[in-house]
Amino acid sequence: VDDSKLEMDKIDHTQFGTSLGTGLINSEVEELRSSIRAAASNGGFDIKKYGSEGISHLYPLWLLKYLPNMPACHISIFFDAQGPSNSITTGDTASIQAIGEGFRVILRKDADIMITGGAGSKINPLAYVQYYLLGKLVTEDGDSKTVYKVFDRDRKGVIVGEGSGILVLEELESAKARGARIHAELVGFGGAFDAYSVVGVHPEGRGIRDAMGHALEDASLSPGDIDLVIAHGLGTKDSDVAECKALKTVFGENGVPVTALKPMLGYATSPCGAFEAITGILAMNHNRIPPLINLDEVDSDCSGVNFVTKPTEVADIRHVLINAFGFGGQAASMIFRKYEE
Amino acid sequence: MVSPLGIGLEASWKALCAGTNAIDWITIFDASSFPTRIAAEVRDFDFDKLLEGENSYVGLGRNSQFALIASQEAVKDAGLVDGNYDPEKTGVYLGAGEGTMDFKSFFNVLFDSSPDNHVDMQKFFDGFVHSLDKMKELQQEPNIPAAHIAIRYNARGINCNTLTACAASSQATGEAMEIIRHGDADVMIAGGTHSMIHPFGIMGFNLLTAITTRNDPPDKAMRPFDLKRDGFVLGEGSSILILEELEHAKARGARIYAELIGYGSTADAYRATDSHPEGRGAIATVRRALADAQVAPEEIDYINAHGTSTVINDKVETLAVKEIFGDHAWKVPMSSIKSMLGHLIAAAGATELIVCIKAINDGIIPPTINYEYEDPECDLDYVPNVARKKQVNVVMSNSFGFGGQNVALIVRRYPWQT
Repeated sequence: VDDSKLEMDKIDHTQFGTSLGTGLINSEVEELRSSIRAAASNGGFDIKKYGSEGISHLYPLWLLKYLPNMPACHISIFFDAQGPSNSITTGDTASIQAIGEGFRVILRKDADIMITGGAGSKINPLAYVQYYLLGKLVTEDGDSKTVYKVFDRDRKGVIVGEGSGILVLEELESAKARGARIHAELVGFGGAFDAYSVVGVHPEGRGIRDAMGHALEDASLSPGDIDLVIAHGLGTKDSDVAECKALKTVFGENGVPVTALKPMLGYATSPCGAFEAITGILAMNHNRIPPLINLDEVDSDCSGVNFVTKPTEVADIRHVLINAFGFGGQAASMIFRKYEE
Repeated sequence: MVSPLGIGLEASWKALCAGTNAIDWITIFDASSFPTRIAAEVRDFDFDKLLEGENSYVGLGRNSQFALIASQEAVKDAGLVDGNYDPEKTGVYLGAGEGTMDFKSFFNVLFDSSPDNHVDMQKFFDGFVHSLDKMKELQQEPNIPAAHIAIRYNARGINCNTLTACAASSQATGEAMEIIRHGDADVMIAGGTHSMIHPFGIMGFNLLTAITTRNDPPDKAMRPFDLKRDGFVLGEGSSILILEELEHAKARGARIYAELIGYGSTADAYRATDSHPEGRGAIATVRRALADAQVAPEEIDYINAHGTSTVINDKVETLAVKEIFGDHAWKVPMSSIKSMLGHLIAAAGATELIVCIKAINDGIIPPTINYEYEDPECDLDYVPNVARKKQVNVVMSNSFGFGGQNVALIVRRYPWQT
C-alpha cells in the first residue's frame, strides 16, 4: 500500500476491497498444551475434564486466530477498505485465484482498488506430520540450500516456506488519473480443474493446461506472446511431470523460458502464487529472469522444457505467465503485461 | 440439502414450514461438561447408504460427506447428465469449512507428549505418525469438498472455495453467479458445507461468548430477535444449488426454480468480532444487491434474515433494514430459520437462499420460532412462531460473517413479467 502511494483521504473507501488467498491454519500445539494437560484424569486425557477445565487455559479470541478470513478482515480494518472482501482457500492455487477474483471485481466495477494476494504458514508441527504422512517432505539430511530440487531427476521432496505477498490492483484509468506508478497490467486469468483425484495430479496436467489456455484466451494472446513462465514447480514427481506435459502442450518443445521459485522460497502453499506473481512483474520490469536453482539433471520425463537455470538478462519481457495448481485439483493461471504508456 | 431437519430438500423444507426445532443435546462427542452442550446435529446420516453409484471414498470428513449427498440431490434434480453440459464450462464454487480434526488422536497424542511444561516434539511426531490417517488428514483442507464434487461430475471449469465465516456459502453463490455472467462457465455447482460441532468449535465460540450456554431446555435456546436472546447454537449440514446461465438452462429444458438477480459484498472494516454498531457494512451490502438486481426496496417481499440470536447481530440487522427500507421495513416479513436449524456457519447462507427460493415456489414463509418477548429495538415483522402463507416474488437473503464480511443475495420468481 505504501508503494502504491494511495492517499487514504482521497480514495473512495466503499470502492476499496480485499481478496486474499489463505488456508487452513493448523492448531499450535504449545498453545493448547496446558488446556489439554488440565484434562488429566487417571493418567490419561479425559474429555469430560477438558470440557470443564480446558477453557480457562485459553484466551477469549483463541478461535479467531484459526479463521482463514482474519487476514483479510484485519487488512480491511487497517485500511478502512469497505468494499468487497473475500478469502479464498484452495491451497496452492488460493492466491492466484484471489488475485484473479480481485481482477474480476474491478472489471465489473464493484471496486476501483483491491488489495489482493495471499498469506500463510505451514511451518507448524501438525502440518509437518500431515505433509510427512503424505510423503511430500524432504527427509534426508543434506545441504538445506541445495536439497530442494524441482524438475530434477534426484528430487527429494519439498521444503516448507511461509510468508505473504500482496498486490494492489487498481482500475487503469483510476491509477493513471492519480499518477500512480504502474508496475504492470493484469491482462488474463483462467481457472480450471483436473477432475482426476484429490491426492494425485492428472498425468497430462489437464487442469493447469486448461487454466493456461483460459488465461491466454482471456488476455486475447497466443502462446507465442508469452516471454516467461513462472512455473508452479512443486518438486514432486507427479506434479512436475504433469506441469511439463502441460507446458509442452501449450508452448511446444523447448518453447518459452521457464523458471520456478520454490527451491529458493520454499513451498508456502496459499501465498506462493502471490510470490510468483510479484516476482514475475519484477522480472518483466528488470528484463531479468530469476534462476531455477538446484536443477542439476532434468528428469527425463520433464525434458523438452526451456528451463532457465542461471540468472539471465534478456532484451525484453513483455508478458509473463504464472501457474498455480495443487492438491485437490484446482488450477489457475495468470498473465501480466509490461506497462508502457 | 442435508440439514439438521432432514436429509433432502423436501424433508427439511416441510419441517421448517412446520416450525420444527432441530436443537438437542450434542451426541457427536461427549459435551456433557462443556459450557454449551446443545447443537442442531444432522442425525441418521448414513453416507454409504445415501451415496448412489460407485463408492471408493476413503477418509471423508463429515463436511465432504454432507456436500456429496447434497450435490447428488441437486445435480439429479437439475437433470444434469453426461452430454447435456460441457465439463469445461462447468465449475464449482463452495463456501466449505475446514474438515473436522481427528480429535481423539490429537488429544491423546498431545497429552502423552507433554507431561512436563513443554511439548516433547519427538514424542509428538512419533505419536502422530502412528495414530493419524493420512487420508483423514488431507480431507481437512477446505478445498476438498469442492474437489470431490467436481471429480464426481467431471466439472473441469473453475473450482474455488471461500471461507469467509458465516457469509461463506452466500459469497460462493454470488461469486459463482459472477463467473457465469463473465462467461467463464455455463453451469456452476455452488453452495456450502460445514460442521463445527466438535470440541474446538464449541469451546472457541464459548470463549467468544457467541454461542448460548442456556442449555436446558435445548429447544428454547435459540431465539432470534427475542428480548431474551443471548447467542446462537451451532448447526451443521450442506446446501448446494445449480446455477446456470438462463439461455443454457432453457435450451436443455431444465426446470428453473428461480432467477438469481442480485449480489452484494462488502466489509464492515470495523472489528474482528462485532458488527458495525450502525450497520454500515450491512446497509452497503443490501444497497449493492438491490442495485445489482435493479429492484427498488419496496419490491422485496420477504427477507431471510441472518438472525443469529446474538444481542448485537439482531439489533444491527433490524437497524439496517429500517435504514434501507424506511416504512416498508415494517411491512416486509423477515424471519430467521436459524431459530430451527441452528447456525450452519459456512453452510448457512446457501441453506437460507434455497429456503428463499422454496418460499417463492410454495408461497410459504417459514417462521422465526421461540419468539416470546418483544425487544423494543427489534420491532419488525419476524413471522413469529408460525409459518405464513403469502405469495412472494422477490426475496432477499442476508449473511453477515465474523470478521465483517457481508453478503446479500436477491432471487426472483421465474418466469417473471414486469
